[in-house]
Amino acid sequence: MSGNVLLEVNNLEVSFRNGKVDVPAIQGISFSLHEGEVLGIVGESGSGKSVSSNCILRLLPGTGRITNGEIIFEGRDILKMSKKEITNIRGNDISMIFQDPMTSLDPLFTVGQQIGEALKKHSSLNSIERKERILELLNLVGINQPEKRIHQYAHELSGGMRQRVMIAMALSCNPKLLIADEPTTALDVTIQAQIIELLKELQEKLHMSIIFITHDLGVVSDICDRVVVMYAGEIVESGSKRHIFYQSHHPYTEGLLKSIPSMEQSRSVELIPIEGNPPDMQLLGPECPFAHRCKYAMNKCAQEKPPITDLGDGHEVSCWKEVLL
Amino acid sequence: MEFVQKLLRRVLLAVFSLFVIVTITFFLMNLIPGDPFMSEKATPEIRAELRAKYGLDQPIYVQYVRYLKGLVHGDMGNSYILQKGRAIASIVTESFAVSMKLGIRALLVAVFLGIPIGCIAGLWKGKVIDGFVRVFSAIGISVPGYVIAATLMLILSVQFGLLPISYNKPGGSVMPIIVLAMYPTCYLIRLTRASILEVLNQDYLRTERSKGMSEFIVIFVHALKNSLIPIVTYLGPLTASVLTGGFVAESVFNVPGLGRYFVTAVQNRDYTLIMGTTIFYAALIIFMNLVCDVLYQIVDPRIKIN
Ligand SMILES: Nc1ncnc2c1ncn2[C@@H]1O[C@H](COP(=O)(O)OP(=O)(O)OP(=O)(O)O)[C@@H](O)[C@H]1O
Ligand SMILES: [Mg+2]
Repeated sequence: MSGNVLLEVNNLEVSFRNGKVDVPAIQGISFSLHEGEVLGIVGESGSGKSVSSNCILRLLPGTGRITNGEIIFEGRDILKMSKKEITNIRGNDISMIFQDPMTSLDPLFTVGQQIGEALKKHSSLNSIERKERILELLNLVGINQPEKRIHQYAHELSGGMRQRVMIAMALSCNPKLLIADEPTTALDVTIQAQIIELLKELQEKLHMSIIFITHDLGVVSDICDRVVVMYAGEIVESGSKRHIFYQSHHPYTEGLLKSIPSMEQSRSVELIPIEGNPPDMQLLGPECPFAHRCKYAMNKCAQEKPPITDLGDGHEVSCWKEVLL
Repeated sequence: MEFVQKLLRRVLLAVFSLFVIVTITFFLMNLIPGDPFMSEKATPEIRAELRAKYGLDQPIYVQYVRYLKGLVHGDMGNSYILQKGRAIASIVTESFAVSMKLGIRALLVAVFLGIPIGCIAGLWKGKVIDGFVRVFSAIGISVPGYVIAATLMLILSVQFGLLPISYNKPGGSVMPIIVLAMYPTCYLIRLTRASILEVLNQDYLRTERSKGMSEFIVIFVHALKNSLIPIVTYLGPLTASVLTGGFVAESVFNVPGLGRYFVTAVQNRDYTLIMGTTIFYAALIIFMNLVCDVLYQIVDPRIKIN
């Protein structure tokens, strides 16, 4: 990768309080992201993609707690920052777009007001300059008639349009990192393709880093440089796009790849990758959490979790197969 | 333009509703046994004479048509009993002025206590203060007004002599206001609490936080504004009911307001007064709902009047 390391997540652990017990959701994941790089995070529903990315901006829901780890952004640990410091980073250095554009915009404020808020907080533009900037942003994300849209409310816009507004809002302060949590899942197929295309263009133009969370490996192959595969709150394999798509070593990655819908199928069909279900996070034992679904499972897999094996060139995998065979 | 058209349609609909209410009340009222002159210590002949004088001996539909005719010309007739011979319109306006004076103060109490307390309870959900507020509002909603009135009288007047029982004495309006404000305050507390809890889970608040907005702006600008929407809907009927005066509060504390007139009019079969107060109540409620719809539309861009 060309640029410097922008973000480094080390040994992150998160759990959710459920009544009196703490249920683990993320179990010590580490990954890093370079400047200008697009990192895909893939995995089944519940594997911890959203939780781990929400940690980066410290946006966990009330019952969630980060129990261990550090998140180093430009040399500073986000988890140690004061409230003030983190709010200065949110929407400014790091911004986020979410899965459901229908519910992610405040229904009572206009598009212009909502984009303007972030600008007002993070820039020194006056109100006229802010309006110009908003129009420029709306243009940038391909919204027609920006002069009119700026005064409209979320309910007056289509789903794709709202996601464009979300993107404009996220980009308003020229973030170094954009976190996109399944930004197209709630949209229909043609709109999905347009939004992906837009993000790709914007990434090239603005040269920001993106963390792109998705179920959809097709999208990953389209826009990501590197891929992290998550399963049951852990990273089971990570590597460049080439590693994951052509030289995958983990049986789970393999299963995910086999289930990429063909072109005729809709992309919105949820992947049902591999037989069986992910483990109950409350009942995790010492074994490899994928063992009960794995066709290569050995005795060792039922006894102990596999260590991370470095396959070189930034390709890592956690599987006994790599260690023992 | 579209707005004016829609508003016009709403007004026409309101007039029609009013007509239906007048009709139903008129016939129901005549179904109550007895008549305005049943309690007069007079011979049957004199009572028959009185009935004939006011046209009550004629078939009911004739009376109905005659009443409607009067109404169209703005004439609601005169009181038969309670203030014999006085025009209904003047009784209603005078007593409503009394009710309104009381009602507005009760309304202010309800709004300025209910909404903030509801917010606090919602924001501190599960904490001690929330538990306290919930118990209080549950009591305030379920205990009937006359029980509250009697309890207040016993404690504040009889026991400690802090406040006079009679409305006319200085400080006499305090207890009626408390009784009048109790239910709406508690209702507003619960409504606001539920509403804010609902809003606190909304995705757009996460979006606001992800933009770097302070918790203050997230809660007091975005969450609060959104949670006020359902409350605005309730404010219309609330205002109407509080302004027209609780029947209970006015009767118990002997306040010469519209509510008390309504109750005594029914007791005395003062037909024209029953009709007059009912029409006024209905019109006020319909009007407040209309105002509320317009208000709602201003607050919530998603709603279009229809
Ligand atoms: N608010 C919450 N309270 C309790 N547990 C939660 C909460 N949010 C997430 N979790 C738990 O954290 C784990 C990871 O959830 P997460 O939302 O990150 O999954 P995901 O990979 O984003 O799934 P999806 O593809 O469905 O979005 C799950 O086991 C889930 O049960
Ligand atoms: Mg998710």
